[in-house]
Amino acid sequence: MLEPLSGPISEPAIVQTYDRKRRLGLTRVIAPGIAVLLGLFTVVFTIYLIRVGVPSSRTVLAFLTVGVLVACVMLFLLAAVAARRDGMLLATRTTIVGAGLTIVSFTILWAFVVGNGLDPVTFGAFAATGIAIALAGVLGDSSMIVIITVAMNAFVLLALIFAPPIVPGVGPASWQYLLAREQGLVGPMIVLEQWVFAVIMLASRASFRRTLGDIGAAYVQIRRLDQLEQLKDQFITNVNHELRNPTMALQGYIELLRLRHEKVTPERRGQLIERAARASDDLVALLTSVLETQRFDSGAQEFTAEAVNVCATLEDAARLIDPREGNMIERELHVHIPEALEVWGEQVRLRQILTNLLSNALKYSSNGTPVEVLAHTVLEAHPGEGRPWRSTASAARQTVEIQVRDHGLGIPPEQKPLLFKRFVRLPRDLASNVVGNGLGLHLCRILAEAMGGTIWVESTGVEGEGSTFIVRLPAPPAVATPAQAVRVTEMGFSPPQAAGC
Amino acid sequence: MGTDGTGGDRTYKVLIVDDNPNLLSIITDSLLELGDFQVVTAADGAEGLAAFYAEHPDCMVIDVKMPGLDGYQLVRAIRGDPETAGTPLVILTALVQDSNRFAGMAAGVDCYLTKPVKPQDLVAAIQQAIARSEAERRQQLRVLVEEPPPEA
Repeated sequence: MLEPLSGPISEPAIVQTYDRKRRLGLTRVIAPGIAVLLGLFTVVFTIYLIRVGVPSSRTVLAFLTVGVLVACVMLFLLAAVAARRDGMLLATRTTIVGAGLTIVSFTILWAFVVGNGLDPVTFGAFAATGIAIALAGVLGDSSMIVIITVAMNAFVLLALIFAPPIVPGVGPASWQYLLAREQGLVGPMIVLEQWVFAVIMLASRASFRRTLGDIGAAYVQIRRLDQLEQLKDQFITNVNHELRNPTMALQGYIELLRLRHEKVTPERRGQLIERAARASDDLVALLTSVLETQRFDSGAQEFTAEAVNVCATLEDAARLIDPREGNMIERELHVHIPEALEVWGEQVRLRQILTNLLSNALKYSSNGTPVEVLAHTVLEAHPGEGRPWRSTASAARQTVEIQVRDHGLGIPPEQKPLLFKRFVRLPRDLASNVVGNGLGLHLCRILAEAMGGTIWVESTGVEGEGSTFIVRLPAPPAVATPAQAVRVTEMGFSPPQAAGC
Repeated sequence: MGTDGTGGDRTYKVLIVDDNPNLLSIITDSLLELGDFQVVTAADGAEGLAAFYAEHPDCMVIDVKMPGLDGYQLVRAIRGDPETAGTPLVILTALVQDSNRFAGMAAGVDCYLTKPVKPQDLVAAIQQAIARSEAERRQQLRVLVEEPPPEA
């Protein structure tokens, strides 16, 4: 059963996580296992040395050999401890290198220091280099396999060249001497065998990663479907909830008229009819806002781009804000926008974006705090500098950045990627009393991208520091922007009288 | 005798607490058209609590999801005060899941209504809640009269 993953869900992330888990798990068994086996071998070897008797001239060397073996046992124990503590790289590399080192140092001591030369024990050690390569294949990654194999190649060849001959009295081996004897074949054979081993390991590892990739893809798909299910449920709940108020108003007035239309004065009748009409308009407005995102989603809409004045559009947008979202209280809006600043896009879309952003800023911050809107031109050096762009501008281009800043709760950093998705509302906001349908920011993103721009949010996540939503849109082409008077205004929101109450 | 249907001879005062102005509008009009009520409105929980203590309504209609003090907190505040605990409280909310209904009943409301509610049904619910509360009060008074208080 696959454990649920925390953090970003993507195929590479999953492959990496499970590969890591596998290597760590294997090392936790292998490192102590080898430590025990090597320890036993050391003990047996020491007993052998003692039984066979070491000439007094070689005592130091004998102790050295045993000492090296013990040190190697320590290395594997270190790897085991590192594996216990989730230090995957340290554990795996120590094990692999430890295996290589054990074989190499033992051979050096046996063949060179003690002087036994190319005897069966030494050839046994050459064969044992396969263990190091196998460990690299099982515990390491592809580069470790290649590195260890090359290292073992070098070791074997050097050992063959420089090892003292078995037959005493015959001169020291050299590479020519090596080639002249039948044992000249040994070197290339062993190297070949090591590479066959390496290739098997490389293939095995590649196949394993492919399987992990498939599992990862399936897992990502499952998670996406789960998320979609959740989002769909959330959306249905939200819309269901939102629809009830306007529906009650509409049904209510119609019922009142049905029950009382003959008993009330004409003026009163007219008033009730007016209110019924208003309730039905509200209902239509709600449905339209839900459907609009659908329309934008399902296909790119053509529009004619033109120069749109940011200040004027912002004023329009502010007027459109539903006063209920400001809690029916005056809020301060600080505007720092050059009067003549224009973007290249469509007025209705820009207004919609600003309406949504302002509305969010009001809803998600408390009554005493101001909302700030700033705008300025920005020269964008390289399109795609970490931000996704729809348009294919090649050189640097002039853009306009509009920032809407509030001093509310802020956005926790790990939830920022969720914000612009359809129907998503942060868990914190779903549990709160703030009403919303999760479509506003998604719509903003679609509209911004349709105009060749982009939108993102910056927030520390600290309560009181709020969030800054930034929309970057193309500037009108080929227009020099002289230094312009920046308009700083403090606009108050006075909601219109709630009619009828 | 008033036309509010409870058989009493006075106009009952109802306090409506909802953050949606269109809702306040339709409920007010419903109560004025279909019964002889006096209507006071409040746009959020805090305002509602203040209005409750200022106006001493005979019944309250409360929305649940409101900014600041929500409907349940308001209910608990009123029920928590022994002087006001008997006030008839009607919850009127868009939250329709059973879990919400249980929570509402557990908070001690007299009636849990889900939007949309037809005007006549809302008025009937309010009248019933007031009538029940009046009957309880009369019962309590009768008990006090029939059982003399213990000697101090």
